[in-house]
Amino acid sequence: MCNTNCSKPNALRTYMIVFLAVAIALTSMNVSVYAAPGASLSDKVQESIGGSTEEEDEFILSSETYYPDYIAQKDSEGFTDYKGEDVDVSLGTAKLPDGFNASDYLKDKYLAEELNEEYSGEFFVWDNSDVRWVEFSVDIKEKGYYNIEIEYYTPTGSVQTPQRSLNIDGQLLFTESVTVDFSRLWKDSTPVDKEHMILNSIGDQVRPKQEQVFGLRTMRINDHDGKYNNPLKYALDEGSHTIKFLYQYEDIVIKSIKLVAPEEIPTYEEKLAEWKSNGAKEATGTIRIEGEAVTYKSDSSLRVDASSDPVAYPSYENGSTRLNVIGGSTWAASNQTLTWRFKVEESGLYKIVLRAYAKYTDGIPVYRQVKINGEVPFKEFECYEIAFDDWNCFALEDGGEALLVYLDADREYNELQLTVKLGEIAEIMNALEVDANRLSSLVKDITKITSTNPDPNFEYNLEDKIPNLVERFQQISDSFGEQIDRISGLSSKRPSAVNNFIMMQEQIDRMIANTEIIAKNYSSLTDAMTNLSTWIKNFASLPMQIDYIEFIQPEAEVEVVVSNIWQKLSAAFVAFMVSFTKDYDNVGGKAGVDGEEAVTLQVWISRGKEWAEILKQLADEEFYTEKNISINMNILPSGQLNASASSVLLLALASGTAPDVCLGVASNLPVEYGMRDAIYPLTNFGEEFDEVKSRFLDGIMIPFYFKGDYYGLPETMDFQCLYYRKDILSEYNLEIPDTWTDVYTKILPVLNNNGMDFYYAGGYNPFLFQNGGTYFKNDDKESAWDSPEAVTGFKQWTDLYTIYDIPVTADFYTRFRSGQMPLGIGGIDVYTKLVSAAPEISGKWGVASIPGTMQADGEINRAAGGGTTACIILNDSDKHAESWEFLKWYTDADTQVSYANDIKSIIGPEAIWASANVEAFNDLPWDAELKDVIEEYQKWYQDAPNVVGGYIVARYLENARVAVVVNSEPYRPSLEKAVKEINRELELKNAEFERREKIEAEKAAQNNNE
Amino acid sequence: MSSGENIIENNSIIKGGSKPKKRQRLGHSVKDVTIAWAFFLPFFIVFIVFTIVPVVMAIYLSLTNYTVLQDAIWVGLDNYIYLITSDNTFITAMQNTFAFAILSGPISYFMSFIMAWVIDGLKFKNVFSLAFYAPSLASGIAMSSIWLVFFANDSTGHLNKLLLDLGWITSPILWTQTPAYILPIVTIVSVWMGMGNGFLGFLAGFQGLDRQVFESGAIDGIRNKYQELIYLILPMMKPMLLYGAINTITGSLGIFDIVVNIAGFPGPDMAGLTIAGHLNDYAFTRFDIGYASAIAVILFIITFILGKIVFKVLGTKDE
Repeated sequence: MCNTNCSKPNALRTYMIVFLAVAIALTSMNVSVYAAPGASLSDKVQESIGGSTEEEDEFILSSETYYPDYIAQKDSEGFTDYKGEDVDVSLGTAKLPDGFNASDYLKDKYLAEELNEEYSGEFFVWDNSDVRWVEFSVDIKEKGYYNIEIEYYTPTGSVQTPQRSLNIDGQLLFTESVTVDFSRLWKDSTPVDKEHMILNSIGDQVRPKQEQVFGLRTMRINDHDGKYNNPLKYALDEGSHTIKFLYQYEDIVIKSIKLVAPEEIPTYEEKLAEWKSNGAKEATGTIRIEGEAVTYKSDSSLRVDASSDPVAYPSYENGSTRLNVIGGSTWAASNQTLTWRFKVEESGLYKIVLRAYAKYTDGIPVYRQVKINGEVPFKEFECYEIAFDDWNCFALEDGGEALLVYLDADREYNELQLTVKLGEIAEIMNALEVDANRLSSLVKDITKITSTNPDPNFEYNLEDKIPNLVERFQQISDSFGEQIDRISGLSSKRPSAVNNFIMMQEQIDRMIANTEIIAKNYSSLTDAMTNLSTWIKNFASLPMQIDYIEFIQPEAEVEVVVSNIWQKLSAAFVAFMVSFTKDYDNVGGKAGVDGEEAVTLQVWISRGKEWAEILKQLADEEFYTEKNISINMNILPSGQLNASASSVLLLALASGTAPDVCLGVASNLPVEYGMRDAIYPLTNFGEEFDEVKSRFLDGIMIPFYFKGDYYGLPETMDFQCLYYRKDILSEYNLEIPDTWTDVYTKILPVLNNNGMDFYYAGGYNPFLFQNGGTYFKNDDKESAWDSPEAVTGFKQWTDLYTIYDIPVTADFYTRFRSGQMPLGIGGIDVYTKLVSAAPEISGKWGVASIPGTMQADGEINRAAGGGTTACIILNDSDKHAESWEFLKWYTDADTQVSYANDIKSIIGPEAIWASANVEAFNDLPWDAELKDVIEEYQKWYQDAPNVVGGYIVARYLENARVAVVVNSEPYRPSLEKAVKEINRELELKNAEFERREKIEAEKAAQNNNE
Repeated sequence: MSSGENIIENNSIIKGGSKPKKRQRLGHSVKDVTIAWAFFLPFFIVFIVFTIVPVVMAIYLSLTNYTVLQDAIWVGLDNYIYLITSDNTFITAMQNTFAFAILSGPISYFMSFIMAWVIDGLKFKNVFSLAFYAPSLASGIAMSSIWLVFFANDSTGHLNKLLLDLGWITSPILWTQTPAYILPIVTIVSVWMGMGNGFLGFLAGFQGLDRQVFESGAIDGIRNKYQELIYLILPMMKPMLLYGAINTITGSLGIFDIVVNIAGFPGPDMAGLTIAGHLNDYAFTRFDIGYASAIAVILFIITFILGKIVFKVLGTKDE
């Protein structure tokens, strides 16, 4: 019966079974891939995400291995130092990413514009940041450790040190290879000695400008932090290898790359014997060089300073400061090097004596590497330890025996170099970083079970659920204890930096004793964890200050020059008496600049002292010489030029002592004061004003506009962009969100499910503007927030906090680094922090435009505002025209660019001056990815207007926000209540305003009649 | 009349004594008066210029609309009318201020009195006096900043840590962001700061008390310290109590920077808004000195009335 009939059902059944089997197999494969215990991070980085290039993803930027472990590993594989001849890496083997031709960048001569000199030879001119990487090939004949030596030239760029990342054979051999510095060289443009010193108008010595020194230089690749005393050794087998560099910052020109034998450095005994056997005798004379007379510096921010120590040479003269020391808190990290070149009359062996101050580190000693004539003479100088001490003179010695050096009088000059190294701290830091990583992964595991908001009353039984929970905690606690002991052992007292770790250790010990409290203390655990990296970084700062250096007879006693209490008291007294006559507020430039009858403008600036000094110097050099108008600058504490304060400006206006120009003014002040006739409307300058206005974005001028006039010019500009973690987005298969809808539907659910968060603290403006809403209507007399667009925007904004539960306040910077907040919106300050203080995620994060809202015409509206500061001209001033000249010059692109560079060179690369001048802003060294984001952002820039009574808006908006977010009230009535209150206030203020206008019009009419 | 009696001649007596000067009979010499004025004048001038004149100016300005940057325009009683009838936030400010004042005023007053009384009887009087007086020397902002460490909103704040360790709470309490807690916190801080002022006055008063009264009181039946306090000390200290009370009232009604430092301005749910804060806001954020002056005048009137009441209660009959 089944013969004919059953065959079909049989076949069907078979097909069904096969189909089901295949389906199950497929889904189980998917499931297992999805649930795979994390594939290695480097593999994940391979996947491409929109916004980054394919080529970049082929570059490995993270490694679990630290250099000491790498060396230990390679030692066990039988590697030893290479001892042969230099191996040349032919630049001709260069390979570039697709779309670029190596021959475009390989030149057989290079014209150094700065020196007007042409070098001949093969050069790789890497002056295009779009060329993301370059790969060279080389053949190795002998297996061993090699140093990489590069001869290079740093063309004019910003003050930032050019950096590259290094992959060998497509691998990041150890994490320290991720940052390779190609240091620039700097010097003071005029020497700081008595002959050449520059005094300002109150007699104090002024720091000279920093000039970059150009030329071909040779360096061996060192680790960026200065943790290791010697250049990095790379273990290379026989065969062919590839050396690949990734462009991080700044252009460089490479002349040659060589793989060379690591240098062998003898011990002191050996070296001394060698010198003596060559006939060196002990010297009989003394050579003294002043610390501030430094010849070269590796960083423009290594500055000379004026020490208040009364015995520092040269000391104060009648209460006027002299620049007498070098170093200080800025000479602290990253292989920063100071170079002194000096002449020697008598060849011989000298003892080195330093007069130095090393009291910055709360007990921990500092380390410096000493090089004589370009090389480290002996092992003891690889990383010389300088004890924590106040001003003191000491000889460089080892166990009581002075370490002598040989100086040759036949040389044109002898050179002494001191480089910051981290010494013993390096190992401790590495160990702590490993602990931090362990702790971080442990917390991640805990989060998977408890979520980021653990229920304090639930018994999670974490011990059972997380394997080895207690052992892992114990390991971390023990390691902390070890490092704490080591650091305490180094210093004469227990440094306060250690206290944080002791606190953490106690916390962990308590958790080991009772695992149930982990859930309760979850947030303090995560807080402390994210602070760990910062605490560790703080260890890596070992500052020192030098007054002078002496080379003396080996047998001579060290003359200890230390100030006593009487000297200190008398110096303090003199300074005190002088303060009655010195006008400190008046930031001076060069003395005696006012030759002829120059017009003097009174300028008040509400920024830090350095910013004001630099601007004054710039104005003295350029503006004064051009226009014969000098400026008198006064510094106000920050916040004094805010509109809502009993500020100095308000009181000055009331008493008639107001200045001509104010800089660094809060963005709402121009209109608030302008509508009360205190500010001179800049539109009075007609066409000239229109031309100046075109230097800025249209949107940024909105806050300065009132009833037909503009009352100020913007100085600085912020931007908002989306920061994202490439590795985490790819781990969860997320794409960068383009619109807010993407954020709600695709990003937030995934983040929430995995215990992560989104960061947004940008306020209401983007949501309002992107939906097409405005602030005011009806001639700025009513709030326009009763419109459907405004209500939609408000709902969208508050939903983020109520429905999607993103945190209201958070430390985005630390949580981004730890991976807990892989996406977030922030401004320039976040960018600065991530770029300069988040090295462990270097290369793992990117920047994209902030999410927008899709419009009817298909375009995405990304409107958002930013913060700005302003500059204004006061109405009371009698020098309107001259003030306008100043503002014109100040906001000019060239001036802004010079100002930005000068600030960076004095204060450091973290001080970004984000000029509001669009040309100057775009000129700043943003990397390629960011430039596109900025362009898009500038297209949509929009800001809130300032109107009569406008100050009240922020207040009621905050009330509405608190009502909805904190007190869980419905959004529509809250917004309506705010609108009602705002309207009330606007009405009142407008009535008052109109009444005043009427009275003044009447008065004017009366005056006309008379 | 010459039989050996010792008759003292009037003349000799007159010669030996001193003739009363003409002006002395009227009261004081010119020199004394000049010296008196010389002591009095500096304070008097400063008081007139920096206290009386501004009060008069404030009364004038309260009848105008004045933005500091432009001239004042006469508006009559408009400011007062608006203040009393239409200003909602002023009512909140009044409520907050009275709450603070009623709580912190009497408490600090009694505390400083009790402390003065206790310390008066101790051995190391000076040390303790210094310890109690020192906090009031510091500025309000400095003190509140230090107290904020104690009341910090995260788990590292002292109070939070203590409670967490004891297990009374499981997550840190947001002290300065919860409206209900702001009143007690501000009270504690301002009491701690305010104790010093009255304290010194009371201590001085205690030391000026006549010991004989105590002895006679003991004879009359006073048995213990508390009876001594109520029947003897309080009546004798009336002037000191009056001084302390006036000080406390003006101080607590004008409370401003402590609250702003702790709760922010205007604080969660307007819990940090006080009359002085409201005044400050109008003066400098809203550029309306006229209205601010009106608020100041109202505050002045309130303080004056309270002061009069205190006078009635604590003033002695001869005042």
